[in-house]
Amino acid sequence: MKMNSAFGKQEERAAWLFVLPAAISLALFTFYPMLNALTISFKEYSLINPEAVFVGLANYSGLLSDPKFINSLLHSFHFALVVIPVQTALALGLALLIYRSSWVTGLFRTIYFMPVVIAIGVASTLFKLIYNQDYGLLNSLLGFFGAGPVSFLSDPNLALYGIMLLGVWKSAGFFMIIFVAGLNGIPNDLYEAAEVDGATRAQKFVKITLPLLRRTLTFVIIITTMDALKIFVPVALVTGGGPADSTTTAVYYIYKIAFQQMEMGYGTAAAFILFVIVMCISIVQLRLLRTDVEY
Amino acid sequence: MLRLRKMMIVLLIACFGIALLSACSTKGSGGENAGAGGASQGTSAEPNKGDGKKVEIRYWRHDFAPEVQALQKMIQSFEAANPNITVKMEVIPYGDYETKIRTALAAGNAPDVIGLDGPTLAAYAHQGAVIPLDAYFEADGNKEDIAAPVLASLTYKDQIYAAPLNDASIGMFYNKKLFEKNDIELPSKDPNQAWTWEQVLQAAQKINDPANKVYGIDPGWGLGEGEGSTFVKLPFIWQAGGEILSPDGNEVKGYLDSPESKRALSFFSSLYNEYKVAPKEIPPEAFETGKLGIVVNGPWAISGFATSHPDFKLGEDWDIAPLWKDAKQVTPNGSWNMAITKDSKQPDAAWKFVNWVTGIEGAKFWYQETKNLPARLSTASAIPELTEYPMNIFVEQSSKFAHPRPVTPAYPVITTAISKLFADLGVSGRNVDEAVAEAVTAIDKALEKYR
Amino acid sequence: MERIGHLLKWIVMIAVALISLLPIFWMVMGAFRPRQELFQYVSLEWHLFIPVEWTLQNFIDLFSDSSKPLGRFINNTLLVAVSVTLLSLLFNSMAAFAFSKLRFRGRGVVFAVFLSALVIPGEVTMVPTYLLVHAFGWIDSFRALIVPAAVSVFSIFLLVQFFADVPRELLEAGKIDGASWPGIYAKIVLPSMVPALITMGLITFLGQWDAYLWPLIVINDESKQMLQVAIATFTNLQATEWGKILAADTVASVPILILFLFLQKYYVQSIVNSGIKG
Repeated sequence: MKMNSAFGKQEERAAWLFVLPAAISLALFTFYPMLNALTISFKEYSLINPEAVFVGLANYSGLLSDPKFINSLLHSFHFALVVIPVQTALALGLALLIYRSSWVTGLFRTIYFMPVVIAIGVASTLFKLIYNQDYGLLNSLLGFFGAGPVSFLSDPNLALYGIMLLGVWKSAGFFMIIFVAGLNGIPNDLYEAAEVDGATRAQKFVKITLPLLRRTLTFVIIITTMDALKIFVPVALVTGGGPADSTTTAVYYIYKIAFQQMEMGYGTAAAFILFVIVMCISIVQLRLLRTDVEY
Repeated sequence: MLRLRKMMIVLLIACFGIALLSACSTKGSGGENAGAGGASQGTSAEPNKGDGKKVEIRYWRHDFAPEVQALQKMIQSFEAANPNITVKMEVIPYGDYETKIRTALAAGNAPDVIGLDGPTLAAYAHQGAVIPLDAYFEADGNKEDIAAPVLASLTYKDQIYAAPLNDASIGMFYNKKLFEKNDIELPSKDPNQAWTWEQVLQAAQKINDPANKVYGIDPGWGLGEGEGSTFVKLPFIWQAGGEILSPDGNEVKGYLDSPESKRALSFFSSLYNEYKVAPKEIPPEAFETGKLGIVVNGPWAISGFATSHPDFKLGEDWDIAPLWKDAKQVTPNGSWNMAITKDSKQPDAAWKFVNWVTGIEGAKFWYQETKNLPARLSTASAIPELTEYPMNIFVEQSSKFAHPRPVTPAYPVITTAISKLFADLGVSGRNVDEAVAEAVTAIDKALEKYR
Repeated sequence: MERIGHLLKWIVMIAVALISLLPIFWMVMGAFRPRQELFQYVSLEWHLFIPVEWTLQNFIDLFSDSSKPLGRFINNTLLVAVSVTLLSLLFNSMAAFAFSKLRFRGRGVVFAVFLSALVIPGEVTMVPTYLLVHAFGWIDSFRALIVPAAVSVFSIFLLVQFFADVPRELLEAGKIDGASWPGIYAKIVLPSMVPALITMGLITFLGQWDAYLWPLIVINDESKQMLQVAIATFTNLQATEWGKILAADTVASVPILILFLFLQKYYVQSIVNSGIKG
């Protein structure tokens, strides 16, 4: 059905007004600083000295041959490649277990959501203590089951997994709730019709649940990807990038370069390389997950 | 159309709401003049209602309760002596102190006086973020009274950029009970009778009992990052006869990768990997709770342990020996200082405050309150307990064996490269030559800019 | 088969519940332990979780330090967090409504530009943002904390998810009945989206309650400082006061947990019903 043009125009004007406050705020507090940062990335810019020298693409070319930066990117990708599927699967799995309403599922939903409510700073402090090789809760429990000890804080091959575990613990509950809402949006009669046709559970999941969860899934995956590739706070608080740089992720590296070594231009250039990479990944994801619902 | 206008009004009200809300919140907390005005207003001399000119000095430092309390007292006495100057001290969590200072400097909004950690001085000076204090020191700063190695660490390109609050040194702290239990002869308390690396290693081997979660030694504050950690690790290199940089601070090749330096690094690595007497991960409060035989620490820890673990007594449960030696006896030096920033509109008044705290009288008071190792000779000679155990160890070390960290604007890169180097060797048992070559490349690249 | 599956389901559900709860429980219990007890128990026994000797000392230390008025920091944080949450509920839901329900030229492009704001790490734009806030004269004022945080692309994206479920027919019906778009937004969309709004509001509130680096940078006056910054001061070069930190973390977490437990019946439970019916 087509709207008459007066109606459409009015709608358009209203839409812009609705978007306006958000647009102004973003333009001012996100995009303007971003543009500023972009110009900084072409300069040799010491954080504590505003007088900077234009160096063209020197920062960018330096970064592409900087093994530490490449390594930090690899750590971020490693983190993302594990966390995105594991956390999404866990969140969806939990949602499937408890999406139907009853007092029991309500209780479990509440419990699973509780880590979301704990501040990331608090959670990081806690996990640092819990992971301690000799005196942490984790190894006490593992010891009881005859396993361990696991040295999440001092073994360079494991430390990143410790950060992943913390990330999943903290965030899975949030995405579970998003999935619960999505699952409840699927009309029940679809399942009933499938049952009449003799579909198995697995068939129903693949043929009905997944396709109809697509929009939710897109949201979850996009947000998880961006969060994972930008992981910073737990790294800074739990391991400080160590041991032996094994948990130095891209954003942590950028922060170190910009604020500890005061090379703001170089650090900002690194951030824009990361920006382009994350942007490309997100665009690919959006294409792959293209949904019938337009945004 | 009417509805749209209505919506605009709602929006306007919302915006107004924000403005109002934040206005209220500023007012709510007293409306100090350091408020919304920013640098120019906050730091400039503002006429007081009525007589004379009142000046406000802003001072930022990191948070550490005993020192902050001492400073509060000194600010009070300073304000009483200088009624036209008020000092507004703001304390910042240690972990992100530098981030905050640097962001403010980037905006030209830094306070008049800042706490400055010794090794960052050259970088700040090179970028013109802090001003030279030579003229002030000539006038009334009693420069000759400051210990020479300390003064050297505060001098960049022949100018002095900071006034020292205190010096620092470290000793070998050991758990006496663990030594006695394992029949180990106790080390001497004489600052000139330091143990050698081998003696330390032997003791650590006897104490080490990982099955029962007791470890021999933590040779350098774990394997993490941070200037403190670099501060306590660098002496290994110096003790072996190595250096980080050339004397002029321009070269790293031939110094950090010298055979002497590498020998030190190999020894450090062997503590973790070959002899396994050092834990890669240290339990919280390990030394204070008898889980660790030997640690390095400084005089500040004496009062720290006394408050946190009153049952863990110096002389009964633990003692202090001079820091170990190898080819040479060397200890690190340098600590926190006060500097005046380029953003200060009233450096004269700022200096008055700096000199009040770090001058001859101030330094004595500072020692009494904080028990930090004095940077001034007059303090060291005026206070008897500084010539007695345990403080005499630190005092003598700092006058005979102190070695400043390299004074170069590239130091922020150096400290990162050094902690990475030590971590690589300790945690992963990496090949020394490879790890050193990587550190040398990183540092060399940073030095290039300043040659 | 069915029964084994059922059993397995329960085992998984309970195991995940334990993993979710244990760290929080350990934190709260740790806050009631005297210092020497904190790292004493290492094998699986009762006292690994429950203090032997209960003490309030950590809390007393926490609240008796007059140089760190925790109550004041909590007030400051509440003021900022509530202001940000209210503003963000309004602005983000407006934008989300336009993106999900209104037709206008350039919608896709504008939304894509919005989304790109999610990609840049905030640590990088911190210095330019600081310069801007400084130019506005907002340093040391709550404005610097509230205004830039009032709009969040994440929140808009989240709300778009839910708003998309409101059938457009419903809106057009409202339109034909003579309602304006603002009227439809206020009278039809918002009331049906309460669970989604509460979800967004809670996440926004939490983000502010957790805020650390930005307030640390822009607030100088200690009396205006935020909670997490104050907690960070318990970790310093010389010693980390673990008992005090656990107590502070407990104080910072428990009110939010209670708020959440109170609110959850409005959204964790009822988000379920927000689905299709709109």
